[in-house]
Order: sequence, then structure tokens, then C-alpha cells
Amino acid sequence: MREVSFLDTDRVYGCGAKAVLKLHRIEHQRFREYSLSFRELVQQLGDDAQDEYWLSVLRKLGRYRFEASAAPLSFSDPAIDAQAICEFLRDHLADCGVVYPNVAAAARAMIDRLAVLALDDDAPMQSICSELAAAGTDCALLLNSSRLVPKVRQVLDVLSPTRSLDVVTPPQLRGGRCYERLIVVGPTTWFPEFVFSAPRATELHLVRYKWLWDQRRDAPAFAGSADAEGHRNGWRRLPQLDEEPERPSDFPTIDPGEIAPRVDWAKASFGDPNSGHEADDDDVDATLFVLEDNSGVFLEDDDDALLTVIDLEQDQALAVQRIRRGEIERGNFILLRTEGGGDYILEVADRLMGPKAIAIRACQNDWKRRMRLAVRDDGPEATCRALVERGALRANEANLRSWTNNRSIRPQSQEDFRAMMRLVGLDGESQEIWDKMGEVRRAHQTAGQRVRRLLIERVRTCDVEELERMGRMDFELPGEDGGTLTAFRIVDIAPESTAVPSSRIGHPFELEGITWRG
Amino acid sequence: MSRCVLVVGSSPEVATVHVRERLFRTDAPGGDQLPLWAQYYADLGATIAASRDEASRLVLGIATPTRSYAAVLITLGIVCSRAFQLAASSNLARHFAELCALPIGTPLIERTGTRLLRGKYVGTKDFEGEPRVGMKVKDLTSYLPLAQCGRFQLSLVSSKDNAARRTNIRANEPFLRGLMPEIDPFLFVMRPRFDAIIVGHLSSMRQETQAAFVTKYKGQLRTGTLQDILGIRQLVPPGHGFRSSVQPVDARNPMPPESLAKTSVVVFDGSAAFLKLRHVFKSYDSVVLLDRTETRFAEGADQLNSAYGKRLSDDGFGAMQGAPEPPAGIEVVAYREARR
Repeated sequence: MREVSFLDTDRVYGCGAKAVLKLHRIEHQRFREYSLSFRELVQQLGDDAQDEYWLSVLRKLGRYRFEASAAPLSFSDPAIDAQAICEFLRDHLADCGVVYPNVAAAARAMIDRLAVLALDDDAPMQSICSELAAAGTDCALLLNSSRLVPKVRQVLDVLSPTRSLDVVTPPQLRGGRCYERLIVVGPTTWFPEFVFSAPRATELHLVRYKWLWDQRRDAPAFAGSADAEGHRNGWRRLPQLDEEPERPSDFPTIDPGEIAPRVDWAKASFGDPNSGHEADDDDVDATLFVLEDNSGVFLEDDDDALLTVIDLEQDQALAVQRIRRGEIERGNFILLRTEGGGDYILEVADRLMGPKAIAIRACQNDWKRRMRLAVRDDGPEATCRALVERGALRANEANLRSWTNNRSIRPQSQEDFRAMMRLVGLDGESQEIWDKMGEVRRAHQTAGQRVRRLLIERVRTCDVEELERMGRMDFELPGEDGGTLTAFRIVDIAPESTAVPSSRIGHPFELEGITWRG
Repeated sequence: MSRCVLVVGSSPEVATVHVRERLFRTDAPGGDQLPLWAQYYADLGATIAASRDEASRLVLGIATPTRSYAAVLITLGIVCSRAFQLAASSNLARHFAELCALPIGTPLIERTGTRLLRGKYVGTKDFEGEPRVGMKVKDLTSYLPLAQCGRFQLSLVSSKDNAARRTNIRANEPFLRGLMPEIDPFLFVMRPRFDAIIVGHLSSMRQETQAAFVTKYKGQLRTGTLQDILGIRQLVPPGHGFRSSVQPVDARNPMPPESLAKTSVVVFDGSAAFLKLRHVFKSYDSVVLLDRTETRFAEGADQLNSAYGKRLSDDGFGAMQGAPEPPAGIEVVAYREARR
């Protein structure tokens, strides 16, 4: 779907050969003081910063500091919410003098600084961007997060020099579109390395605040690149700044990594504290996938479970794919039900089965629950042994996990299935349940094909650039199988799995409040 | 009589010079020469094709700003270089002896003008003291003497598998003659062979190999596509010859084609292709294209760096005589490791 012509490819290599970097450092005393005093507050708090009382405060303050540094908006712009944060802080920290008397003064000073910024219409980054846009013909503004794109677009549209600016996010710089000028908002370390090592513009203008100390990475990709003869392998340093800036001596600086959002896996994997826990809801092992725009979804640890993704590398007919959970990678777009709840294919399959679906699903849930209880009581190892004794051919812990998982329907082999029925006391109904599960499987296959066809049609006509820019897009499906699915770009995957209630699998939730720790 | 082929210089040099001087782009005014980066990839492909070593395999890692066109241009160099290698080593006596040694029933193709006939090898026969090799098509058997035996070539497709026993050879003759005047375009396209395997997405290859290029033949510009040269198996009509093939990245049970020659070069088009299927092609000379914009670029580079640490020799460039200097934006590592 992402077609790149020979001419575009030539332009990409042209950018790599000619690219130059220019740095524009901005000084804004009030915002600098806010940013530095925030760090001092965190230092003063020490371990207390981890208390619930402070976490919500620090998240809001940290988020403001980051977003005001990452987008050319005025300090008072409602999109970054300084006014609302002030109100929250005044309310939340009203008793701070009693609870945390040692830091009360610093907290009050913080609120005062933010209150000043909340009324400050200055937009120093916007001014520089306007100047740069006015001096070039084919410019783009690069933001590191899609969240503020619509707001920035709205602000820039009002001003004539910036009206023609493209507002892009890093994934859009993977294709063949090249610019004369790329205005990079924020320190280089907030962006993927390819923005600089495979530039899509001949001039890269780095716009950032002076108090952010940015040290660019610059190393060959290959260990064998630096050979004795030096230049044979083609590694050359990235485009260099005409003059390396000196670290300011009159005020401290902050490492950009310190203020960028990050995922605290331990907390994030705990999940959304507000989500409900349905009665009779078993815990399952699942991995947290961080999605674009600070949301997340738990996917069950079953590498064979099939999930629907959009692969922009493929042509239209193959762009919508059902792939195994174990094959999902960062950068894929995963399709999740965001309206109506539940697994969409499951719902269509139930409709295909008609009135008997309720009884068949009850039967499916019943034997799965019995199996899970057996595993919980005896442990997976003993359960596998018991299944082998009852004639199972492929009883091992990985298969057992898959067989007891709600997303899988039945094992491939009837011997394995029969052994499970014997184990859970359903031996007499084994054939009947096997046949019912066969019916479920056929309905799922038909439903999967039907949904895929509808999605292919929708994806064919969608704005792929917008999908790349925003990292998420809703797809309304027409007809009786209608509904809304949302494609989310996967931006990160938790390194370890965690036990979550099965009702939470596949439901996106807001990671807000978990990823922003200042 | 077979066409007499005169090739001066080594095959990679000839292929390199021909691509550089005879293949032109159509998307720039005046039929410009290929840009430096494109020439580089084709040159690299030509050099790799001629750098085979029995004991060790060459691995070439390339970090690029974009994957687009890199794999097809490298394959272009490989295919052209192999065409000149074949032409230079063409020896009718040896070909005749090889045909004589074939098991009876081996599928053959015979070129007559611009047509291909499919049949089976039926052995040799003496005609007034002159040995001839025979091929049977339906009930008709034809025997060719040594001087004409170049018309018989091995087929990778059984005549049973293909209902049409007679096929017109489809070759973009003027375009191919413009690029490689020393090579018979019909012989070039008729023979099925795997000069290169591209591990990647067929959809990208389809798009890139359909881009128009021109050569000059008999004073005129002749339009063609990279597919005219690369002959990607999945994109040629059934039963026709091919020179390269695409192994899809997402294949469930990937296997190298049965008839893949030891001399084939595998081009991994991207980190995902390399990370997923490197184990399938671990005995072949390989080019690994890593696009810096890919999500898994660092993972691909780490894998190559780890293999580089266990290399037999880092004289990869030394083994590739005349390897070109990479242009700006392209970083390369070359090393040799044991064939497995």
C-alpha cells in the first residue's frame, strides 16, 4: 500500500547526501523556571514522590512540561490544559501544609509558576516555526506524538506562513515523501534515530528550549563498518550541526529523557484500576500492548490465537490479515472492537449460528471452566500427566494453556479433546461437544472471512497517510455485520506478562495517569 | 548454429558497465543515466554473483535510508552478471556431454525461433556416425547434433505439469538487446534458473519491477521494465523461463525451492525478512538489506553484528574484487562465514 516510485526513492537518497542540521534554541525564562523547579520539587519529595497523593500531581505537572516543550503551542493553550491543572492542584494540595509541611512551600511555588504560564499567550516555538515556514516552500513540522497533531494543525492553519506546513509524525517519514525543510520540535532523542540517519528533508531545523540538553547519537549500524581503511564501508557521521552548542553556564539543564513519557511496566501492567471485574471472571496470563495515544490493551499469552491486523507493507488485498498473536510486532496496526465491546468476530459468528449460539457458547464455557479449575487445583504439570493417561497425544503446558483459553475453540486432535472430557467428567457427551465446537469453528471461519472482506473494502478507501500520522483510525463496517473497529498502532510491548481478568482481554483502555510520572 | 558470443572482461565488470552505460531511467528529462545509488546496487549485485567461494559464504549487510528498489537493483546486477558468466562459459561440447548424461525422461525445452517446445529427453542416437541428442514432444522426436544442441535446455517444469507443450517465448527483444547486445535475448529468457531469491513482499517487487526504463537499440530508445530482465518466477506466465524468485516473508512453512542452485544469491529485503527466514537460507551467499526506518532495524543490525563476531574472515570486501564504494547514505558490512 505504501508505494514509492523510483523518482521518490532518488529524492530520499538525495536528502541523505545533502542533509544539513540547524539548531534553534529558545529561551523563555518563566517556562524554564517552571521546568527546573518541577525537578527540584521531585528531588525534595524523594521517596514520597511515589505516594498516591503526589503521583497524580506529578503526572499533571510533568505532562504539561513535556507537551509545552513538544508542540508549538502557547503556554496558555487549552490543549495542554494549564488552567485546569492549576485548579486541580489548588484543590488537591489544599492540605499539603498539614500532610507534607516540608514541601508545601515548593508545591505552592510550583502552582504559582503554572498559574502565570496559564495566562501567558507567548508561543516562542510557534514564532520560530512561522519564520522557518515563511522562508521555505516545501516544509513540514515534525511532532513526536500524534496526540497534539489536530490542535497544532488548528493553530497553524490560522497563520498564513504556517498554513501550508504539513504536520507529520515519525512513522510518516518512512515512505518516499521528502521535504525541503523539516522543522523538528523537541530534542533529537525524542525521535527515532531514522529521522536523522535516513532524513526525508535536505534541511532539518531542530527547535528546542535551551534548558533541554540534547546529545545526539551518532554511531555506525554495523560493528564491521569501521574498517582499517576507514571509508570503504560507507559509514559517515550523520549530518552535523554547523556549530555544536555549549552547555549553558548560567542555569542548569535537563536531560530530555527525564521529561519524556515512559511506561512504568510494573504499574501499567497492573492495568486500569477503574475497570470492572466481572463475576466468575478467571485470571489469565496476558501481555500489555501499548497503543498509540497512550492507550493499552491486554492480549492473552496464546501465541496461536489469531488477531486481525493491518499491514501497510502489503498490497490492498493482503493488507488486512489474521495473524498469530506471537507474530505481532511493534508498528503493526491491530484492529480492536471499540464500540459495543467484545470480540467482533465472535459476535458475527454467534449471529451466524442463530438461536442455538447461546446453548453452544454455554457448553463451550462450561468445559473450558472445568478444565481451568482442574489446572488450578492440580497444576499444569499434573493435569498434563492426567490427560496423557486418558489418551491425550499432545498434552503439554503450552497446549494446555491454549486449550483452556477462551479464544481457542477446540484442539486439533479428537484424542486430546476426548482426554479432556474424560478428565472433567463429560466423557459421555464428548462426541456431542466435539461436534458443537466444530460448528463454532466453522462459524468463526465464516465470520472472519466476512469481516475481513468488509475491512478490506474500508481499508482500500481509507486515508493511509492519516492512519500513519495519527496511529489510529476508526472503521465503520456496513450492513448487518456493521460495527466500529479501531486500528491502533502498537508502540510497545511489555517485557513480561501478567495475570488479568479474562474479561479485560482485547479491550483498549486509557493508560492516562500511568505513563506520565514527570 | 548457436549465436557466437564474445564477452570481453570479467562478467561482473561487463554487467556493471552495461547497466551503467546502457540502462536509462524514464522519469527524468532526457533519458538520464541511473543515479549513483542505483548503479551502486546493480554493481554490488554483479560483484556478489562472481564472488562465490565453495568453503565459505559471503554475507553483505547494507543499511539503507529506504528499501525501495534496492533488492531489485541488486538482483538486476546478479542476473546480468550471471548471464555474462553463462555466455562466457558456454561450451557446446560440454553442454552436449551434459545432455548425453541426463536420465531418460528428463524434462527439456527446445527453442525454435521465438517458440518453446516442451518434451522429454530420449537419449542419443548416431546419424551416419554423428551422435545426436534427442527430445520427444508427443509422438515427434527430434535429434540435434552438437552444433545445434544449445537449442535444448533443461526444464524445471515437467512437460506433464504443463498442458501447453508449445509456448511462444516472450522476450522484450529490443530492450534486452539494448542492455546486453552480446546475449541472445531468447536464450536469456527461456531457461528457468534461480540466479537470485528475494525474500520479501511480492507486492513491492511487482510494483518496483514494473517501473519503466529504457535502453538504446538500433538508434532508438527501447522501453522495458526490470521484470524483463529479472524474470521473477511468480510474475512470468506459467511455463515460461525465469531468473529469480520471491520468497514471501509471511510464508507459513518456508522452504528453499527444490531446484535452487548452490550459486543462487539470497537477497533479504528488510529486517523482518532477515530475522524470520535467515535460517532457511543459511548456506547461500546473502545480501541483507536493512532499512533504517524499519521498526526492527536495530534488531536486524544486532543479528548481523552477532554473526559478524563469529565470522571466518572479515575480508568480505577483499573477496569481492572491484566492489564499488558506497554512495552517501548507504552503510555496508561484508564478511565470510562457514557454509552450513
